[in-house]
This record gives sequence, structure tokens and C-alpha cells, in this order.
Amino acid sequence: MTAAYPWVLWGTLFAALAVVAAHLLSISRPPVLSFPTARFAPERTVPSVSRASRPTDVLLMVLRMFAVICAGVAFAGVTFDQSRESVVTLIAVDDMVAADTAVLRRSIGEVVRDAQRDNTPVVGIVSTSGATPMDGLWDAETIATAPINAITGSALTDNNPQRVNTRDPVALSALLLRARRAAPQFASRADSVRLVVLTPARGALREVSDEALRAVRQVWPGRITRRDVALASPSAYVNRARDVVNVRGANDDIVRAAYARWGDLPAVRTRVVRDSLGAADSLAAVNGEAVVDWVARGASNAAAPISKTPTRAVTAVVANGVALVAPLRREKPLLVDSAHHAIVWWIDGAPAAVERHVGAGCIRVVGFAPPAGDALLSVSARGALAALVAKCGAGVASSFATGALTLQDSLARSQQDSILTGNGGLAASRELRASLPGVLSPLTRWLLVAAVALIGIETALSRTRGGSPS
Amino acid sequence: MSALAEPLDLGPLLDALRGVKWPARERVRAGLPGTHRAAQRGTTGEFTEFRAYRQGDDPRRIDWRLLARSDRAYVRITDERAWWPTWILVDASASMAFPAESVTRRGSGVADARDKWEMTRAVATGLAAVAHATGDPVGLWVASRPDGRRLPPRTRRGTVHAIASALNAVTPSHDAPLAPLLSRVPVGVRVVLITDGLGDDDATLSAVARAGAAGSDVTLVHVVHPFEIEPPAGVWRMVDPELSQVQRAFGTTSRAEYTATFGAWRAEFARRCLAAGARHLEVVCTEEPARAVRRIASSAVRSSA
Repeated sequence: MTAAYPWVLWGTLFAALAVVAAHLLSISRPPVLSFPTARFAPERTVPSVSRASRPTDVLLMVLRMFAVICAGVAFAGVTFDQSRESVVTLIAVDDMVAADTAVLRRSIGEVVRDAQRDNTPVVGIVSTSGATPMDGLWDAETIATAPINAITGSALTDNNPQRVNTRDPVALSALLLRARRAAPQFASRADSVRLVVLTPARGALREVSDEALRAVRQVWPGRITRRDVALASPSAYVNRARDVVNVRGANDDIVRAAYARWGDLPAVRTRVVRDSLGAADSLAAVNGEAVVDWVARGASNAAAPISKTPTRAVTAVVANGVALVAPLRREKPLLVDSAHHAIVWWIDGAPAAVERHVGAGCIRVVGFAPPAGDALLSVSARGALAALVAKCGAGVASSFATGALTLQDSLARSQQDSILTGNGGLAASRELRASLPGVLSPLTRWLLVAAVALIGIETALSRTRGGSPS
Repeated sequence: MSALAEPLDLGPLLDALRGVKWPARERVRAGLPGTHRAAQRGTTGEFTEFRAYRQGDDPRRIDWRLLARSDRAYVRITDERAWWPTWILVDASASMAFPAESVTRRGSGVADARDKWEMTRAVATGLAAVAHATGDPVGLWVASRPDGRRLPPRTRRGTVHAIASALNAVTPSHDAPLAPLLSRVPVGVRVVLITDGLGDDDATLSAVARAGAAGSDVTLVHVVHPFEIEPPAGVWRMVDPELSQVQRAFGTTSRAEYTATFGAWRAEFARRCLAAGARHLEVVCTEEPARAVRRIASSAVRSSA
């Protein structure tokens, strides 16, 4: 048996006890005594409340109790669906850090076994690298039947081209975003989803991972468990992406997370400015850096949005043959002239990002704010992200007509990626919990009918008996 | 209370009252010989003085030895003693049937207290015995409904038992005014009213004043039960047995006010009795009836002293 609102059951219990208690109390008139000196007593009313040794009117009490219980169980959304679990587990693996692969696999196996023992089966695994098969996440049956090494090894191979060693904490934020996006599809088969995060932690890295988790805990309705795995030798760290693309912004900036996620993009030394350009930025551009002015307005925090419905229209920007479909808003108009040429386009052909040569480098201005949610972490965003960190002047030859795919192809790709990007909105906390079905279940209907019938019988009976139980 | 009260055990009561005197506090009217000093002076009683012989006196009353000593004729004067009829008027209204068993069960600390009617019977019988023992005729008049019981004063043997039997046959009920009875009692006698004062107290006290002015000696015995002074703990709805429309809710909050009001009424009632010329004695049901009777009888002695 599962209940959508277990607290309603507790309230029902207390209400039933209150009905019994009310039938044990009686407000009665005081006993009459023949007293010759009654005239000397002051005239005033003195009611008395006494405790009855036995419940008064047992039949009425039973009817009221059962009416309360039937109504309470009905409103608690009690179901007896054997196929529905109470809690399922979603594992989030932070494989962007160079942890010992064998240890990581072993940790995943331990989590799977613990979850099965706790009757909270694992229904999926997400990783920071996104190395899960695109046709779907692993389901619990696969995890339960296949050898653990085979399951975990296929995703965590050392020759994964997308896997980049980084210590950037935004990678964990990206992982949590992916987990949050994956959770709603499992909420339909369970009452709630528990998140288990496997992330290496050593020294300062634990602090930054705690910071990322703290933000998610505020919005994740279920339980979050963190398990630590061993790290490989620190010398294995390669901060390639961090050395090349420098994002100046908040630690949880989504652009920062995107470039950490897609650290394999071919890039030159690029400075992505999320606040406002300064003289130092202009000087850097003159000295050969690519400076990207990417407006920070709009929801750029990876963990904050919990609204399911985006407030912007879904549109697309195109670059390098890839269209990013997401709720985007045109923040500033951009012009293309002899000095400025477009490197990213809107779906209608208007420039979405322009580049201007300055000295040995260039300054790129992006006309849209990063989309809400984790759209920038999807594969579809690689095109636009790569165009913004490419060599200055590399996008001069490309154009909307020559570089963009058809809209249908773009939408098809975005649908493939919808599991991880969706429409830009993140899962609402409500999606991770069971909700009452739109149509009342048969059990709920019968319980409500029974409650109404019992109330009717009780009303008729109490009227014939004079109303109050006392 | 049961329909017929349990008969009193007269033995211990009468034994306790043996030798108790109940003298009149003033000279009584002339009547048949008795033990009380009569207002009339005579020649056959206790010598009191000599008086000079007057024309018309009986020569046989001349004290010859004094004549021989003084050579003057004197007659002996003595005090006459007469009997003093005693009427015992008893209030048998419903309020005298207090407390009922339901009240007794709830009360505490007064297990030995008699109910008011039992106390009334005992005091009335005791006073009758004391008066009868001194040779006074004793009568009984019970103010009860529907018919009051009346036993005229008698000195014969068995009068006390007859009075006790008459009281045993009465069950207090309804409201039975005392004033009409008092108005019909002859004047110049001793009257004892045994009542709780919760009936026609105004009319009764008026009758008491008239009887006192007419020469009767009136004593009012005010019977009070401890539960009336300190009601049992709890919350009650009090109903007056004689006035059913009088109903009061009684609880902890009203106890203090009730006690003060009832105490003030008792003090006022005593004052009014004294003002009417009667003696007032309050008898609480926890007191031994014999002791109460002695107190009543001795109050006459103190008054006369």
C-alpha cells in the first residue's frame, strides 16, 4: 500500500481518536439535591463536564469513526498498486574527475546492492560525462540481472573521448542538473526518487562538491545521499579546458559548467565575460585573446530554476551545423556590417552572436542570455559553444545558409536529446513525487461514497436520538 | 427519609435527662399545685414572711408564738407553687426532612449527624420528659399536612411515650405554618417552638411577640444541619423542597457567598427572636439531644438567675 499524502493518514488517526475522546466526555447538568437553604445560594449557572466511564452512544461513535477513516484514507491517495514502488534510487556519477575506475564501478555496485536491500531499486544512472546510451538510461531490471562490471564498465571506460579530467566544481552542478532532469520519468512508477551522488572528495574538492550539493538540496524534494570514492593520482589532472577557456562569472554559472562539460571543444585562449567588459578585457583582446561578452541576464544558475514551464518562447540558434533549440530570448539587437560578422544565427537568419576584430584578437558579443536549465550542457549546444571559442576569424566563411541544418533535422536531434535537455525547464519538485491522478481511483471513489453514506446514517441516527451523544 | 421514621430509643435519652430541672424564669400564674413559684401568695406553701393581722383574716393563721413574744397579731404568708403547662410546637414541614440520603452519601465528615427531624423528635421528647418529671402537664402540637397532630397537656403516666409515638407517626412534608398553631395556644403557658425557621418565619415571630406579650414564655429552638452550614463539595442544582421554583446552581464559586448569606440570616433570625421576646437557642444536629435539652432547660435557670 502506498499513500500520496501520508501525513493525511496521521491526521485521520488523530481525528478518529478525537471522536472517541469526545464520546467519553459529557456536559451534563449537575445532580439535583433537595436543599432547604437553596434560597441562600447565589443565582448563577454552573455547568459541569464529567468524564463518562464508558463511551456514550457507541453506535454513533463507531459510525463517526468509520466516516472519518474512510474520508481520510480517500484523501490520502492510498493505492494498492503492487507495480508501484515507494522510493526508487537514481545514481549520479561524477566521472569528470579522475577517480579510480574500478573503485567507481565497485561503488556503483555497492549502491545498487544497498538499494535493492532497502527495497528502493535503482532505476537509472546518470554521469557527468553523459556517457550513458542515448536510447535511454539503464533500467532497474538491467541492473538487477546483469553483472555489475558489465554495466558500469560500459559507461566508464578510459578511452571515452568525452571524458575530461577537471577539478572544476561546475561539473558536479552539471551532473546534478542531469539527474534532476532524469528523475521525473521515474516518478510515475514510484512515490519519490532518491538521489545517490557518487563523487570523489579529497581536501578542497570536498568543499566545492558540498557547495554544489547544497544548492541542489534546497530544491530536491527527496533524499540525497553522497558517497565518496577514491581519487586517482592528482597528477592525472589535466585542466586543459580551464587553461584555455576562462569564464569570469559565478561558480555555478551555466556557461562555466557548459565549457567544463564540453572541455574537448577546439578552442583558443578565450575569455568569456559574464558581467561587463572592462579595460583589461579590451587589452586582452588586443593581445590576441578572444573575448566573449555574453549577457548574464536571464536564469543562468544551473540549480535554481524549478519551474517546469519556461517563460520564453522556444526558438533556436544555429552554428557549426548544429541548432540549439531552447527557450531563448533576444537580449540585445546585433548588426552585421563591415566590422562585425555573425558567428551564430537565430533560426530566422538574424545574427545571434557577432565578432569584431580588435588588434590580434577579437571581441564577440552574444545577443541572447543562456537558456534556463541545462540546455547548454546538451550536445546541441556544442555548435554555438564552439563558435564562441573558435579562432578569431574562423567563422567569417560560414553563414546561416551554409552552416545550418534544416529545422526538421534540428528538431529531430533535439528530441533525441530531450531526455537530457527537454525544453529548458528543470523538473519541478512536484514531478519527483507521486501526484493524485486526474481521475479518482476506484478505491478512492468507494471510500468517499462510504464516508458520505456513513455521515448520512449518523445524521439520521443522531436526530432520532436527540442530537448530541451526551 | 422513609415514610415512617425509625422510632427513637427513649431509654438512653430519658436516662441522660434524669434529674434535670426546667424551672420557670418568672412567677407563673396560679393554678394547680406544682413546682413553679406562683404569682399568687397563700398560706399553705413555703413560709416567706409575716404580715400584720387584718380584719377578715383567718384567725387560725395567726402565729401565736410571735403574738406571745411581741404581743401583736401576725399571720404567716407563704409562696404558692403551681404547675406550668408546657406546649411543644413542632415544625413538620418538608424542610425538616433534611438531609435526604442522596445528600448524606455525598457529604463527608458528618456521618454521625442526625437529620433535622430526628433531632427535632429527640429534643421534643426530651423536653416533654423533663417537664413531665416536674409534674407539669405537657402537650404536643405538630404542624404538619394534611392534619396537624395535637395532644393536649397531660400529667398522666405515659404522656411522654404518647408524645414520642405521635412524633414517630409524622413524616415532614409540604409546608406547614407554625403561626396559626401558636395563635391558638392558651396564654400564660410555656411554649417551645422547634423549627428551622425556613417557613413562615415572619408570621411565626409575630405570633411569638403576641404570645409573649400575653404572658406566655416562648422558647424557639432553631434546628440546623451541618450540611446547611457547609454544603457538601461538588456541583449541585439545589431545589427548595417547599418552594420548588427556587432552584440554584451551587458550586465552588458560589460556596463562599452562600456561607456568608446563610450565616447572616441565622444571626438576623436570632436577633429577631430576641426582639420578639422569645429565647433563641440554635441546635446543630451534631449535638447530643440530651445535651441540647439540658442547655435549653438551663437557659431558663440562667435567665431566672
